[in-house]
Amino acid sequence: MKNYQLAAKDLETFFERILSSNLKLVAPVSTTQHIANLKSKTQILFKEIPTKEDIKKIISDTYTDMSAKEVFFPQSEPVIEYTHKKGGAVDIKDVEPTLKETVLFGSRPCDAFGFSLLEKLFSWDYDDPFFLKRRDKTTVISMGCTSPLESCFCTSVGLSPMSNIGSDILFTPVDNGERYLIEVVTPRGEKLIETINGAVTSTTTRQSIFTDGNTLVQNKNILEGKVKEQMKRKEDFKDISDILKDKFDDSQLESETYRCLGCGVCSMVCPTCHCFDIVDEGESSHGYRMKNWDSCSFALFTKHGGGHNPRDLQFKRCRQRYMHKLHYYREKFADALCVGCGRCVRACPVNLDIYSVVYNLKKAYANKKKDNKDNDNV
Amino acid sequence: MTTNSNQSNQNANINYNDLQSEIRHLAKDLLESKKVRIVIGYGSGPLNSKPVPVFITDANDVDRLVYNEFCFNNLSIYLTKAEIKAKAPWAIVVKGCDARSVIGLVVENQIKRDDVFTIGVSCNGVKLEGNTLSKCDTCAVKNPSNINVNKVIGNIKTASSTSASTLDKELEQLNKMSAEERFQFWKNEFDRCIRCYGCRQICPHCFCNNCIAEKSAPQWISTTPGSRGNFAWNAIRAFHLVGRCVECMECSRACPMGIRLDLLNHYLAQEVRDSYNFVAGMDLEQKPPLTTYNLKDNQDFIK
Repeated sequence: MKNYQLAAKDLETFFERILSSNLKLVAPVSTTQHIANLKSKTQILFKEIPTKEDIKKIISDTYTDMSAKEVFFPQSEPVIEYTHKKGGAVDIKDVEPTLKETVLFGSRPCDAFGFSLLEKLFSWDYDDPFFLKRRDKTTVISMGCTSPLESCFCTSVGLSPMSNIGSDILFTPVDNGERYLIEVVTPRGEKLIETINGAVTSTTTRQSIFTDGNTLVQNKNILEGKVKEQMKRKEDFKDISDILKDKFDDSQLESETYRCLGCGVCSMVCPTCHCFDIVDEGESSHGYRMKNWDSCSFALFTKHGGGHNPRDLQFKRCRQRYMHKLHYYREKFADALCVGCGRCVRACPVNLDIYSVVYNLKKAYANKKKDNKDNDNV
Repeated sequence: MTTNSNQSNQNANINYNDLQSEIRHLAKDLLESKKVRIVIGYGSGPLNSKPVPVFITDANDVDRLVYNEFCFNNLSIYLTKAEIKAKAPWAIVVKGCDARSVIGLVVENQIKRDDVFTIGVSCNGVKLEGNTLSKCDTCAVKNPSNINVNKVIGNIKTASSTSASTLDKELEQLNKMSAEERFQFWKNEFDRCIRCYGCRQICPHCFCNNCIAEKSAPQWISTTPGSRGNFAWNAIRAFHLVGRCVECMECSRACPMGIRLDLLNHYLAQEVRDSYNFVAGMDLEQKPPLTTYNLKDNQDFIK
């Protein structure tokens, strides 16, 4: 696939052209509401950029509080509409997801890898039309990371701050942010570049804002090496799957997760958590069956109708979350269900940290192995 | 003037190492003498500036306890958890604000006062991401000796600030709004709610075994994230906490969407103070006003 470059000053034009090509644009913006001098807390979230005037609000190179998974897998969406008719008949209709060609800008390489993991799941034993159709209609443009956060650990799960898996296009700020190297990863990405450069009408054409990017590849590679070097959290997650399998009943896993309070913050901010609840909303005569985000951290998640709960204590729920992410999913789909974005680490109110849990488990396992070996030698 | 500035200087220079070693020493004594079975305190976390709750059961492990200006968690939440309840008696490291939660739990019969040994640490405000939390502005319990704790550690002279806190100023703004504006403000806040229930799970006073948000026969609150259910959930939680919330503001800190629960809590506390002359979590003998009934109640404010 091709490489292009874009001058940083032309980024606004790039966004303008996305909007004028009748595409929906979703990008990170800072959201603070002000009413009569009263301020809510500032958050950085993915939001639709409806008009050209809103382009200035885009923060192109940032870390968002919530992941972008909701572009494909919204917090809440109707799946069935029901209407009770006179005489007892019920009219049930599938709800088709509303779709518009969309450009998601500013997700991170870790987020984008998350989309590819979700895609595997949502096209596994059943093709989930809601996720898959949205993914099919969306061009993902990721922004490579040049200054990862203290809590980031993408290299632990085999990624790099500038990897392109799951993205259609990858932007990397090079030459001190003066220009972007644009790597086109998929045909969908190439199509977007063509659209942006292409004819406005049959008679007028636009001037290309891109130039050849091959000369920047070397700069990116050097930068990538430097940024990887800067990252403090580097423990490889590869062996943790087998260790966890052994450790299911180990007291260490219990003590590591004992402080978990059972909220669902980690699942909600996670780019790969995908469990959902099905509930009916509406009146008896008419309503919708909804698909809402859920979390295995909630006590209600596995509570049976009769009152029994197989995961009766919080550490068991927390253990389930780690087992699913780092062991079960890996057994089924080859990759761990964690992309190292660190959002759960930053958001957890009691500072539970998946990276340090893995780190501590691995350390204990290595020590135990060493002890066993020493004993054998005696 | 001179005395004041000396005093604040002294307050600013809290020796955290001293506090920490005193906590460790006390924890060791309590565990060795079998006065408690578990010490709930702060330990060093995997990331700097973020200590974590730790649970010490072995006197040899007390060096895992740390104390510094980033110890913002209100650990009393753990006293309401079944796993911990089974391990009474406990010792718990509390700041003044957290000690108010412990009192609240005793007053509402969730724990027995004799089951808990409170290690009350003097505190001049805690920091989150570099900033002192706004709740610390007007804290009246910086030195927990004026509320019921078993042992006070550190010696801060409580000098309650007389200037209005940020929260007070914001509350004034809120009260100046028209009802429509105020409704819109809260609606916008609650609209962001993602129903992770972080607020409920971290709140020491949200101790119901079956939360109304989880009841399904009938379902009182829509569980779907969206205006209707979000408003109902946040409003009902607020109603349930009136006169019981001690303004530790942990819900506000836990909220990943930054909903202004701190402002809501402060508003409720103000209402309770004005209407009933009551402040939650200060007195073991006083029940929250909305949970008691008395023929001699002064109900002038309703008329």
